[in-house]
Amino acid sequence: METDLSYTWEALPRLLQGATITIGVSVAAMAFSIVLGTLLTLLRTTGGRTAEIAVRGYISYVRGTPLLVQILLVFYVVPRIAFEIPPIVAGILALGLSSAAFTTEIMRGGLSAIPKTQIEAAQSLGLSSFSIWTRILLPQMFNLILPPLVNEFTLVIKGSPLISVITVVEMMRVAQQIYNENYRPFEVLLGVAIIFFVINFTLTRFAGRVERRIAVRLA
Amino acid sequence: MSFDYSIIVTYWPIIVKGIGFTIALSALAILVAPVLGTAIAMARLSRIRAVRAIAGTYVEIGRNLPFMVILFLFFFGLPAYGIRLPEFVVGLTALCLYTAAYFAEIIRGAILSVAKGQMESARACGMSRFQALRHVIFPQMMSYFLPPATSQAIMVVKDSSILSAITVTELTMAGQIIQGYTYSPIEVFVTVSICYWVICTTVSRVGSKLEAALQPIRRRRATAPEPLRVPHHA
Repeated sequence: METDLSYTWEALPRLLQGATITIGVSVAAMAFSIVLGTLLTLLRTTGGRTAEIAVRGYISYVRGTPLLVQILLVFYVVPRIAFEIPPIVAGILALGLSSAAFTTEIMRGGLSAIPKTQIEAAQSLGLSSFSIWTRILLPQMFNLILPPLVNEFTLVIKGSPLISVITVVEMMRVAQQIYNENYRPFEVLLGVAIIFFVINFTLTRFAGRVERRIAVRLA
Repeated sequence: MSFDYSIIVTYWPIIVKGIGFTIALSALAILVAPVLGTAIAMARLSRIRAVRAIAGTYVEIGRNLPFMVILFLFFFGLPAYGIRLPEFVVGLTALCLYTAAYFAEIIRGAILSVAKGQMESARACGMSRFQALRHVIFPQMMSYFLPPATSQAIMVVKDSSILSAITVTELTMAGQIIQGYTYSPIEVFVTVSICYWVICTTVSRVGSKLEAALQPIRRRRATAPEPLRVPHHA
């Protein structure tokens, strides 16, 4: 069977529709990841030893297990112990819970780049620890970690086709629907590959530019 | 919610087989990918522009596509060209070629991080080229190579779970098979994830041991920075 790229071209409009779901899911998961990551960061820095151990355990678990297994776990476990959720919510939840572990590590790196003297200075000015976090530490931290956060976002996007396994109709699933109709899996998947490449390549380039800009500002 | 251990007791042979398959697939990929990666890294550092461009494109494709897409392209693409192979061979090939793109970048970084003057100095001290490579360049490269290589090896173990999507009976597939028999996803996938965690933690340990063993000079260890602490009563 010859490869016929006209099938790729034909599939593109529907694939792009699927891509909007892929991006939407990834954005939602990343937002959740940043919120949870910030909470975990606050917990580990202000919560004492037990909190630190718990956060470390969480990170170790997420790092040591495949995303696919995490997705299956969330998909099956949440309905059992809490309430029914649609697959897409389970997908976002799983991607976000997993990414949060990495975001927390990124934030640790960002915080360690802020000189300790700033906290001392703020304390001697009489700022409360709440103000130190919201006005001094977090704003600077987010500025510093923007490039690695964008990279983390590309990792979330690269993880997103896995949620097709739990029947979420994102780009990968749309591709499967198309090639179940036209029996041209290779050509259709080529379209998927092109779209993923364009999205991720653009994002990593963008991260690189932001990184250089921050380097200039810090110099 | 209760945890029914009897499921694991009954179906452990399937899990053990899955673990064996996962370890075998990962081990092969971890051995092959750095070799391919070295070749690609060399090509990226080549003097010939076309060779550099081809290797660069390879790396960019590998790093910007999800592994699942690459795997499916191989799985459906090879038969379309009349190449029929068992699933695990297709999966292993895709895993090796995908991981090679990442190893290429790690190896290129390691090569570039050893200063040029090191070779010249070693030669000036009377070492042969081989001696210089063996005693000066290689040990320094290893300290740049091993930490990211260890993370990448862990990624290989985790990525191998995606081979379940093309019905390779590795650990995740084993879990899905047992889940099909028992409808007890919690017991099954908690067990499966613990197995993965043990494998990945072992890989990480081996990586740190190797790093310590190959360290020629006691250099300043790049430990993770201390987390910043803000006192409560500020």
